[in-house]
Amino acid sequence: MSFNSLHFLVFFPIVVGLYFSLPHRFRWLLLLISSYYFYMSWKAEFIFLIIFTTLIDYVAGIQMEKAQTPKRKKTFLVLSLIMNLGLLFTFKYFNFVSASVRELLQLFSIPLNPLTLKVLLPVGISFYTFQSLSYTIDVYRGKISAQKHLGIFALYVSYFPQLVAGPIERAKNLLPQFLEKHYFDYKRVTDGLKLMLWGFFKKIVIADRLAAIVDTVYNNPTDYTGIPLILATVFFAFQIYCDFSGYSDIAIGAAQVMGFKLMNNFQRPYFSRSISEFWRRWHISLSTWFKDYLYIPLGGNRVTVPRWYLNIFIVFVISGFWHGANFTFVVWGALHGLYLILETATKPVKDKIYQITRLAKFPSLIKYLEIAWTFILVNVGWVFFRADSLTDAFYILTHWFTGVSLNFAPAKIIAGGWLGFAFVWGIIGLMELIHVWQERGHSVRQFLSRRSVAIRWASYLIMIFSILLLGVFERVEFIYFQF
Amino acid sequence: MEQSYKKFFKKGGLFLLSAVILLFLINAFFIQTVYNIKNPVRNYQQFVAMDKADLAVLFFGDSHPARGINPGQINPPARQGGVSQSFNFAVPSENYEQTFYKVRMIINKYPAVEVFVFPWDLHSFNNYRLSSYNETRYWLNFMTYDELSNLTAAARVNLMLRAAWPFIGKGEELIKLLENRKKKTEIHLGWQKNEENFTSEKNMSLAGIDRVQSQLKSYPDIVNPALIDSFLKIIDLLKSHHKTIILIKYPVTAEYLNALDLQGIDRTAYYANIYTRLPKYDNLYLWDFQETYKNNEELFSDPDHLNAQGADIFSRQIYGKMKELNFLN
Repeated sequence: MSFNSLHFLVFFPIVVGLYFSLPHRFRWLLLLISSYYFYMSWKAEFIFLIIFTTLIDYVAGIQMEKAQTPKRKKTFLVLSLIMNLGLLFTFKYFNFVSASVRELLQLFSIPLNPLTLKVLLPVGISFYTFQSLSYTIDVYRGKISAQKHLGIFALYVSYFPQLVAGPIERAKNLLPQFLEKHYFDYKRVTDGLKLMLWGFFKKIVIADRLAAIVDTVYNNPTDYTGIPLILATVFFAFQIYCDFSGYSDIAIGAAQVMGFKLMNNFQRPYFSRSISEFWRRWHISLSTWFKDYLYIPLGGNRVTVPRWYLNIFIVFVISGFWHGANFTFVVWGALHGLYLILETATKPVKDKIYQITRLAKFPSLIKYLEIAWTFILVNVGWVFFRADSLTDAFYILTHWFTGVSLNFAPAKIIAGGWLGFAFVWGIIGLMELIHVWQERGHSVRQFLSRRSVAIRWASYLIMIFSILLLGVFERVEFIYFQF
Repeated sequence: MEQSYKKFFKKGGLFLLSAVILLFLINAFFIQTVYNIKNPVRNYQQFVAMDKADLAVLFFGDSHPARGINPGQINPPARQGGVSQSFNFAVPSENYEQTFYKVRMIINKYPAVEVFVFPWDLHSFNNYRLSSYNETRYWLNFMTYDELSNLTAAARVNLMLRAAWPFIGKGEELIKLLENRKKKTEIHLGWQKNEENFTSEKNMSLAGIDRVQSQLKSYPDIVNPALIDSFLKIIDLLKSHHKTIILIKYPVTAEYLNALDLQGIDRTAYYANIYTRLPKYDNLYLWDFQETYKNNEELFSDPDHLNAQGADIFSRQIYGKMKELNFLN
């Protein structure tokens, strides 16, 4: 079930209504059944994978806590890692690795027909596997106690708002919340609903509208040169942001309605002044996961400089691979790794240039230049992320400036006429204006809460009817479902 | 908590009520100002409203008949403003899959209609004609929810919502149509009047090539099996009801025909291919007007569409042939 489906619009109020009507001791059961139903409405049989992951990590957690020796403790951690990552490998990476091996051997004229699995990629497998893994690793490290209640643990793995596309929660934050009794609080509930509304707006009005333009160009990139290729990439940057952060807003808002606080996943990433800042603002739950469970165990920055750079590179390549079994994602990850290494290595030079050119006297100018530069670098990365193949990605990058002129007619055509073209820029501009305001420390919800009922309701009604009128309702899936 | 509940339901109820009122208002406004002025909708409304006492001939198909057949010129009473014996049920971009449902509706509801006229053009069966069913509310005049659901792969509940609330997701159309209100096409007995003149085109040859490329060259699957199946289904349906079927090759310009040759499109082979699939039926007529006006570009609005003047001349010619065969008085 997708958030932007009629099914969810019926499902969610029923679950919330029942949740607050039931005594506290039964609520976990309601949420677990609802979460399983939520997942099974996509493909029922894949629920067994979630149950399998749950049982493995539940047993591993308890056994690690009970373990008398570090060796036994480690055995259960390794068991959990093998099982979880094995499952992920089988369903997500096996066919990719198999095809890559075949292609590699073909280079040496060695014929091989390796096994190919005829399986679909289970929605959200990367998300719930990582969430569950974080639990076992934290139990192993002694940061949290093992959860004894199987039902509560199962709910932690499958809690429906964040099951299929995050935010990837930590047991330390989410597990205790399932034990707390949540009361119906008017302000919290309405704040959650407002956040959901904003998420729906970003997904249905902005992301899905941009998707049509981006798909036109990226599905046949060789039909285009210059401006359309640049515009499609910039539009993709906003599409993926609105798609994914829209999903996160709906997830966080839905959880908030029921009294749960999920971690923030996005912090206006396109206002970042550097790639390292970008990764503190983009998909925060995944970045922090990799930092805590991969980068720091590799030694982080407390090693020699070359090793530090290698650590950064490894983390980003694996992060790219996490996104999808395709070399385009690996290159995207590697590119960001390189960006970060270069950024770290050249920081003293950059500061010196600012001094020499006297730019240092204009901090605001530096800020905007850095934001623009970071946005350009991120967009180069998005080309690999969105392109269907490396060949397409290289074509796009090498034709960005081919035949560039001030003739926007081709761009107008792909955007569905001047009106469509103006409209997409209008909504992006509106969103970014709100972001600028938020960057200055304001909150839209707080601002509205201080206004009269008429203004508040008018704002919400405008938002609802903007979604109904201007939304694209043909497209359903969120981009990150495929990961 | 009790107070929170009360506040939520009280305020939420009021908010919902205002949203529902607004929903009805916006929807009514949209239907009135946008939906009802769409050409297919107006075509259907004219059909529903017309006096069908003498209705004997219906024209189906896409923009070729929609712009090329003026029922007002088909028979003398209609010319004098009386009851028409024919109606132009064609809508631009319509394909045979869609036409089938319209024909079926006519057979079921208006059994007195005897003659069914369809286009038989070069793009009639290719993927260029694969269109969507965006106007849910309009298509439900001709088919059931289940049929539309099968054709569009949309859930029945989605279709019901789209039919009841056609404004959903159509904000851009609202802006565009409000912008173009003055350019509303004139429609008479289903005929879409177009007064443009192809001779005012600077480069007529290039326009012909562009047209052929957009219609045929970009769609190499010139005969789509699904559309042929729908076409044969229509023929079978009409045959089983002993109706008369006329297939017309609509007039095009010399520029269009030259462009076909330039693009290497073999007209003879194409028509032979379709012809072999047609069932044997005495009441099936094939009329070829493709080259009749090819050198009278002033009768066209573009390389392959008759303008108002051309439609009048062509419609009278059609009437003459129909009268000869006693299809009309």
